Amino acid sequence: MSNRPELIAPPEIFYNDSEARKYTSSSRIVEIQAKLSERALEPLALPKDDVPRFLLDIGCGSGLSGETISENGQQWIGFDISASMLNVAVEREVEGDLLLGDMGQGLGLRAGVIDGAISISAVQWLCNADKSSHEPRWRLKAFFGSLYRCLSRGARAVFQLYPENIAQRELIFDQAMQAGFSGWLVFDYPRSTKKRKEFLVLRCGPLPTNIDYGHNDSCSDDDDSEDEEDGMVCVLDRNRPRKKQRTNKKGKGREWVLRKKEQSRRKGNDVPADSKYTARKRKSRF
Amino acid sequence: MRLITHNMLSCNIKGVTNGFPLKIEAEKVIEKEVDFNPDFLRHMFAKIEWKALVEASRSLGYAELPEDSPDAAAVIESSAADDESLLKKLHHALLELHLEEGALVCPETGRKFPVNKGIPNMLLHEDEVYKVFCCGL
Repeated sequence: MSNRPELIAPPEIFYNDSEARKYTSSSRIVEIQAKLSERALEPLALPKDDVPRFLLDIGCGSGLSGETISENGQQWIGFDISASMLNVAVEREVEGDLLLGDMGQGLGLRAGVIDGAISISAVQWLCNADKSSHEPRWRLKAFFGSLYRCLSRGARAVFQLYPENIAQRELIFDQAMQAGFSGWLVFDYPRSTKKRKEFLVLRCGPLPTNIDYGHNDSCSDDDDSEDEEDGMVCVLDRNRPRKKQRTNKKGKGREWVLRKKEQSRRKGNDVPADSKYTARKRKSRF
Repeated sequence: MRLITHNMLSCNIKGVTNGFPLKIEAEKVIEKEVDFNPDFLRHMFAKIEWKALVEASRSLGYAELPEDSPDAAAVIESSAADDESLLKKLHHALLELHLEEGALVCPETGRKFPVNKGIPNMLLHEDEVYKVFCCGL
């Protein structure tokens, strides 16, 4: 990640007219955006009853992700801070409504009206302080707080992120938790540096029992066949046990047993004396 | 901007307690035909502030909606044929009327949010931003 747009200029300046046009006319970006938004719609877990839902697309840009939402038969509102990007979206005649707004200032929507939200490669912009008045923590808090209010109960929000480092990921995750969301991270292709994609799935209310799985590589990429092993699933859950117990074939070893026996003795338990047989394996014929 | 979006939007300025509904100053209104989907309307009906919708549609020059909110149960249970006219009106007001040029006005502070090419500009000035302090952090 050497050329991160976040480090070049603030979003409303970086995505000027020429950059917005370039962005939307690049077939590679269009394809990536379509794939990402399709993938982001899966963990939203919208009920499949053919009733369109009212979704929010945060950082909609030129409406590439919105098009995928429309294709899925849902209605949407798009938020973006770059007027040039929105102008391109108007020219492309996207179906959703567009709003020029800064998500770091809060969304300004009525409570409980939105059925779900997605955001493709946008939230990491909030971690940058582009003006002296910007404080990433406040802006993230205002954003997640207003999002929590406008989502209906049980609704989900899915963010595709490119955090710059672990600290940014933690900052985003912490602020989302403080706003009252429960959530988890989904990694697609965790072992590939290029294809690795990160999704933050948030939910209003308690954590559901079913866990979402990442994608693997079974789809038709011809030249990427060696990546197939790497398409493993890695779900970072809040409830995952932190430490794995280190054991090998030989067991934990004599020293460990002696230490535990000593500990137990100090507590005053009745412990057999140490001998040369302590922590030895029994013979197989036994 | 469609009225369904207007019905969700409220004013986000620091210190404003009642920023809903935003008043509409319409300069140019256009209509775009959209497929009629009664299921979506029934789903959205519970979430819509009827009074704000009636007021907004009047300011766009569409006065067909009844003043009083229709009974929610009636709308949800009615088949498309039964309540066709009401659902059709709702459909037209919510999804087909677009505010193309004009402004949204905050009912409390009178601050204007301009609407250009159908995109309302909801960006706030720095002194209007509501800052949330994180205690202990």
